[in-house]
Amino acid sequence: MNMLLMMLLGTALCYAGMAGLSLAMPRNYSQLNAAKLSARNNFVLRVASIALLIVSLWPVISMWGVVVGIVIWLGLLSVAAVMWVSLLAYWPRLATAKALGLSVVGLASCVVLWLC
Amino acid sequence: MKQATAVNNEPGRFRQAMAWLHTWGGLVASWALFAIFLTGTIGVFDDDITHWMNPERAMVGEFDPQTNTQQQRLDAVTKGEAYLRDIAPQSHLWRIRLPSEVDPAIGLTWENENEQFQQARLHPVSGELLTQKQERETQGGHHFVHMHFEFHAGTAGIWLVGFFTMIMLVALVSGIIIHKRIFKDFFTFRPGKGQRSWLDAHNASSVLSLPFQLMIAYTGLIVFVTVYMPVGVIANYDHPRTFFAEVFNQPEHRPETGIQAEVYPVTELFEKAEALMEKPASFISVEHPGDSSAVAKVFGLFEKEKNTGRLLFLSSGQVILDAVTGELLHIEAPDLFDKSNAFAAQRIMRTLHFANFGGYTVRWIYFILGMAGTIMMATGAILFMVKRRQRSLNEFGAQTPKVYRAIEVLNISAISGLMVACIAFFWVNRLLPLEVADRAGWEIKLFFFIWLGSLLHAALRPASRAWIEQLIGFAVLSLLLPIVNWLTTGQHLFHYFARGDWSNVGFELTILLFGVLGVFTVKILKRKQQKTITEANRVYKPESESA
Amino acid sequence: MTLSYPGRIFSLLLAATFGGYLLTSAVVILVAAILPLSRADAVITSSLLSFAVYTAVIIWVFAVKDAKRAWTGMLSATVIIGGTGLLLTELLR
Repeated sequence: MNMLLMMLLGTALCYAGMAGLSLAMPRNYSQLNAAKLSARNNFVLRVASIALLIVSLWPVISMWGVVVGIVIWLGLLSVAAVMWVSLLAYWPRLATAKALGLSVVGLASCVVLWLC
Repeated sequence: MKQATAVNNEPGRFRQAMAWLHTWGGLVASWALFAIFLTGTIGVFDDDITHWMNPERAMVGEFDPQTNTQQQRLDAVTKGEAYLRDIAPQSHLWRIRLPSEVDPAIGLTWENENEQFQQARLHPVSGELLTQKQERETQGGHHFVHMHFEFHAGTAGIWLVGFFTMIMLVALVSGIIIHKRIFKDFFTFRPGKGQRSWLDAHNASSVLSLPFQLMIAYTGLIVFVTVYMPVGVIANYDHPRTFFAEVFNQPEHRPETGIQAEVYPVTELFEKAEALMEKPASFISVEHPGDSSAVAKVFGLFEKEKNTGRLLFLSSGQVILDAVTGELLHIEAPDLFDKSNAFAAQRIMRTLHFANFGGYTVRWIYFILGMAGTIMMATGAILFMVKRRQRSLNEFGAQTPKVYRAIEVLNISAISGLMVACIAFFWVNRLLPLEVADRAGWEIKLFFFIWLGSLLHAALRPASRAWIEQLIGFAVLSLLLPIVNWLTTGQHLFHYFARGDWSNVGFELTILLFGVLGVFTVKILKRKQQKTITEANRVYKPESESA
Repeated sequence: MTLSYPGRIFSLLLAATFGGYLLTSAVVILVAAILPLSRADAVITSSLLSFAVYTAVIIWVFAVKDAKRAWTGMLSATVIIGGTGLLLTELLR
């Protein structure tokens, strides 16, 4: 159960991070919204996404150790990106809402697990 | 790349050459690579598939080999030994595998007079031979693994797979070179735009999973490195066995002498080895039993917990004994890795390829990224034809329409035909009568017959119809599989749920998911064909001026 | 001697598969001979790298796209590298 939880947590954070990086690109952002993101907001989005990806290392490394953890993390990055791209193509709003939700839930669970 | 550009004087020419290589190399290899990839991806779950294909067998995980007492282990070896001494007193090899969590029976393997491997399974308590009435004879998930690395064709198959894997590496590298906007198009997939969408799907599936694709192709070659690249060993050693002895840090393999000698009691060898390792063993092999060169190897029980978080597995312990005198030849202590760094690198790459670390998490990651790989190959092959359907490139002169037709037929049977054959394989497992002789062999034969049938079907039907009909076949076979299972064995999803048999729950739900995806694909294809029905009239008409 | 288009492609394919394999084997022998490791380790290390070399050679053959130049370049490289490799193997063993 613990393993499943950590895997889902890692996937959720990777998904949110990949979604953010994607939306920081004008072409992908325009799939969601006609308006353009300001340069400053774009920068913030990019930094936040990278931060999410770094945080996503924590659940996998704490579960599987550094070596296997990093291998799993690299795999999850790809899996998350594939999930994001397929969702974005057909349901851009749902995909983005899911990314937002998962980043909040993911970060909150990380904090809770870390404190416990 | 810099150098090569310099050689060509114009950078455009290099990219053009790579595009040619990627297109044609990729197309020719894509049919075989799709088969290698699809079966490899399915093979990630080989143990779970074997479990589903053996409904009469006890549940996976129900039996824990660590709870076996020493007396039970020795009894099992004695039963195996008696059977082998009786059936193959003179052989190249005996193997006795103790009951394990994957298979609760005693597993025996030996080589007969014709140097063919034979197998039998004994009941763990009574020691009786398990017959087909008690348990169906099935190829199980091994079918997919063997398709994956040798096409069920032995050494020739291993070489063929290696050949295509090299083409895959070259296709990946040339693909990176010709993809002008890897980062700009990183997350780009625009569906419903014809040729553009096929290219997007091809690019996205390969770029997003590129590290995995490169890793899996390279490590796949490394698994058989001494088969594919023996030259280093040949140049440096008089005999490969000297090399392997150095690498494994073990005494050299003893060649047969031809002098007859009685085999030392195997059960005693097993007991001795356990005492020397100070841990339970799970496997014993005897090389050349009956010959004076006979050697016994006893392997310690693999303890999963000790290797959690490791890519480089520790030794489970191994003892090598003279199987005539019972004398100790070598002992490899458990819980250590006492071999060289270079060998460790090979082992790590092997572990990465086999996905036998990190449990189900890693298996699912590999399954999803493996599917991304199959999508990469399928969309690549389809894209080739989509491009030429719009406008023939007339590469083969007057023969072009015929060649295009052949490519289309091969695409259909290699992609949708193989998908049908893989699901049908599970149907065969449930429907083939249990008393058929060489039942496991027939499972494989029927798999190939069905695949061949898909080729015939594709050759006889117009391409657009053939795609849809085979995909409908795939969807129907997938969606009905749980029902066939219920009718033939009385087992079903709810029953698995109630039993807590998550392996079978996962299997049937995954099959159902693929059935649903199949239905959606058929729907999308049908809608598209209605839309482009007028364009269909222009298909396969070469335009002479486009040469 | 000029070959037809299919002939040229066929010659390129042979150069890439068999010629490339020969050149790669030569590189494996040379690298195994000069690596400052134990004999078994040097052999394993150079064999592990071989498929990267093979890939690069195949890419090179198709980048040249001239069967004659690909063959001459590759065979001379194979002879020089393989010869040096075998010589060093004998000397340093």
